[in-house]
Amino acid sequence: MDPSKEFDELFQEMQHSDRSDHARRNSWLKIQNKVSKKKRHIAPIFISVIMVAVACFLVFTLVNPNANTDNKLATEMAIEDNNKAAVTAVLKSEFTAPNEEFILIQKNLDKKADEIRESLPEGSGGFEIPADSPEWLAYEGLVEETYKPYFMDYMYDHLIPTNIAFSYHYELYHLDEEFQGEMKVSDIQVNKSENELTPKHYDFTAQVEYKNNAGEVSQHGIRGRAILSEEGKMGDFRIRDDGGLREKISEARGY
Amino acid sequence: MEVDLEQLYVDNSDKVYRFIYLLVRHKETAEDLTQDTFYKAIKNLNHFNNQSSVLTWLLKIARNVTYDHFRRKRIIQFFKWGNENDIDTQNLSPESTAEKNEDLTQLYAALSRLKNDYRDVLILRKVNECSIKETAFILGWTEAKVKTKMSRGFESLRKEFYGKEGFTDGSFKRV
Repeated sequence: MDPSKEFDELFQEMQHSDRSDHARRNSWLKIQNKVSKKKRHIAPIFISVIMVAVACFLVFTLVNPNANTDNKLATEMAIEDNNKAAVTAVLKSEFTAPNEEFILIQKNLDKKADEIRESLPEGSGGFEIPADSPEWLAYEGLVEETYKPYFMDYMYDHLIPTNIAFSYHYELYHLDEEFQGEMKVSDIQVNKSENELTPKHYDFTAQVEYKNNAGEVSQHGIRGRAILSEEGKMGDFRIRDDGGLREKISEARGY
Repeated sequence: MEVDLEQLYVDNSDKVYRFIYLLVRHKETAEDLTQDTFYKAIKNLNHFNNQSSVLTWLLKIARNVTYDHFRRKRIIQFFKWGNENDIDTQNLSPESTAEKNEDLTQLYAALSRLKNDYRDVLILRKVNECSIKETAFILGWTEAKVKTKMSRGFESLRKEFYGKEGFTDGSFKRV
């Protein structure tokens, strides 16, 4: 028998899917829901804008503008500068690529995963890259060095599990080794909320230039919000709009 | 381009799901990743330029979505294949059913121990029945690389399937 056909009968058995009609239908509903989500956001955004405007009006009419002394103002400005510096540092890291250290660490993690997978005994239920392995510690070390100074402990603990750290670097780090795009960030603007009800909120914008492997360059406006729970430490960091950057990277990947 | 999205899903989702399922071996995760695949595809439908069939394009997205999922996790949980519902055995005698179940389980296990490249190329060529050209598109390889990996993948699969000790000089014996 042609050796390449040796397992054909078994491979054909693998073609049968036992996926239930319910699961199939349910997935389609979820996809539809996700696709139409953007449209449904229009009304809540409009309502939010109105609410913020009303809140601002109330605050401005109630607050006594003479309450702040010069010293207090100087302290507040210093805190504000540190807060802006924290947001700026994170944006620079997230939108500057390639990051050679990140790439090397990911390649080592991939190799480690392959090694473990190949040595698995029959019928294994799974595997994990040991938390104390040099490969994983190197990744944790990079996240710690890059982000820990700028996040509250509770937020920092979520950076890896929720894929916030190096989110766009993961998009660029592709299965095909030859693929790597470039990102440069500029024009970072971080502005403290003028709403005194949300004094810890900072809105940010930035311009990201993305160059794919074919040398095509695109510009993307980034917009988001950070909550600086303590001086220089974020309790929340969200990119609300990436100006189509993620989609552009997907496009470069061929879809 | 006017596309009937539901028809696109109906025509292809089982094949995409099955491909992902063979990589992750967990129904719920495979279902979630199938959703992600179609969501990305629908969002980027205007980038589909007919350089491949729609299914080939979807499988390329599915593979990347699945590996992104793997890469972001330190712990990879496998689930055993022991579920007899996975195997269509209605036309087999009890004896051949048992034997086939055993072989199939063994093949799944052998596949899971292969390097990613070998496993992917074997699944795409043998289960999804993609041509060499289609496989090259999905994996982002040259056609020559697909052929080489396919050949080495088979060799590794045999070693894993028959047991390393049962494989000598190209002859095989069941262990």
